[in-house]
Amino acid sequence: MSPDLSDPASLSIAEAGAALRSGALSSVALTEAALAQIEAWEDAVHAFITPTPELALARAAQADAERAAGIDLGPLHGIPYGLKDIYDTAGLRTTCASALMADHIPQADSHVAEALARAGGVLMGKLNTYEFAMGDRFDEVPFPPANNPWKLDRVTPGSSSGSGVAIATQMMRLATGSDTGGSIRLPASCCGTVGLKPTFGRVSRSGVHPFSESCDHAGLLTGDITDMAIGMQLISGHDPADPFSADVPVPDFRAGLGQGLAGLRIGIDRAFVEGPGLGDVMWAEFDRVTRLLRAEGAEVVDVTLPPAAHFSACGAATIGVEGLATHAARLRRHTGPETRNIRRYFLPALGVTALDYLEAQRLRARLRAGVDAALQQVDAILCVTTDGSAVPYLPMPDMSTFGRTGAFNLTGHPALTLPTGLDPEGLPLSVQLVGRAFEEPLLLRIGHGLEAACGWRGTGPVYPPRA
Amino acid sequence: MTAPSDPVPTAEAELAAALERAGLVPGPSSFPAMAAAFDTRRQRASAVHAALDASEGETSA
Repeated sequence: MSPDLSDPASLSIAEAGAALRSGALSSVALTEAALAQIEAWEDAVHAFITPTPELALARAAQADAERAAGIDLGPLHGIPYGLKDIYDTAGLRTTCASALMADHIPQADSHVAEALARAGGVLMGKLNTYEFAMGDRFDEVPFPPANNPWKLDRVTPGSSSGSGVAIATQMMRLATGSDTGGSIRLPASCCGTVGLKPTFGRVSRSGVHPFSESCDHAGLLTGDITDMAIGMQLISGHDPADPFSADVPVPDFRAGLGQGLAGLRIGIDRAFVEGPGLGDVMWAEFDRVTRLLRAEGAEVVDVTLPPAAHFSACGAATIGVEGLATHAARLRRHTGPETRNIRRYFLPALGVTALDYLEAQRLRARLRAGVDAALQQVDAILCVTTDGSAVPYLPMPDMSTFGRTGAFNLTGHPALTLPTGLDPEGLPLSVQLVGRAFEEPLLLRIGHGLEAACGWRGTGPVYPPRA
Repeated sequence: MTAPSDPVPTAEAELAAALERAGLVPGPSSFPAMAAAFDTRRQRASAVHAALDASEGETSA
């Protein structure tokens, strides 16, 4: 089917790029279409902390002039994107959604922001997040939290909430996120977008405000798998400024797209999928996806992962205490209401002893080896992202339903969430695919095949949103 | 004669001691609620020892 050039905001990066290169579309027109989406949706969904429409139109005009002069900066040239507001941007405020940082103007770009700007993308603004990318949404914050565009009373969980909302509502086709326990994959799941937590070390975190040093991952949310491959090509690579950045070759992330699923082996551990209690609707969707994989020629086999309780114990003794270490100096300097949420979230981690933490790191190595062993038998592991669709927002959210993601922050394996269908309420459902370290192209190949089998593309929330 | 037992410290007392050691203060947050979360976190984190034992048992077996 030909892309609909009369609706530029609906175009993928690949489609928009082709239209720009052929002259059928200008970057200014594409950016104006994105701004129209923002104009329509933003009051209801709060995707942005700092929108930058004037800068965007100026950059789009520049991209059109560059193209007219024969300059082509690549697949993102002249195409709208956004940055989660924990990614530093030179001269543009980076708030981390915190009163402490409300007027913070960085001197330099984060590594990823610099890469996307160098690729000629049109920055639409800084996107909403939970304060300092913490995993819980608090109400006493200086910026209104993002709302789920599929149904406004539902969560946009994780912390890359504005990124999920902006992609789902076609304000842009690529947005950065960060993922410490699921903060890319959870909003992707609940907003019906693609989200990839890359392998630990694949994408530099330099200039991204930290949460947990050993669990933070920088990554992307996009509208489809091809756009994810395009984006990963732009932001991956070794960066000495991030001490955990891996000095490994950058593959062609699009290499496997279109090769199909025939001959691939997909592993399932039903006990891991079940977790604390998978709903009937999600089980039915998971089984439907399993049948689709088989129908596309993949072999689906049982594998055994380490017990979910071991991942939970390891995470409980690791992530919060690293977060407290990140914020301890800040908490000593600021003792007033401006740090109330950070205290509520991180001070309980004082209950973790040094022995707990160090034994957790020993356990973590064994968990990583256990996942590696399972992945020696298969090309990827299929599991779920959440227990079901987005749950209603409560002042004290019950995050126990979000347990399948943090395991792979502890092990560092790449994990891809992609939407597969709608539940009876018309809300998105997703699955999560986990691959071998630094084998994102294979993961994207599987995701691309599954995306086509599910027929998700073109599915999105309807304006005006439901209350 | 039975030796008098030491009083069991409450989670609130232990959190207060931990805060003092770390040079931190609870700030405007509810201290009892934070102490309850501290106790929960302590119990969840302590599960790591049994998990490690089980994991090493699997390996040695």
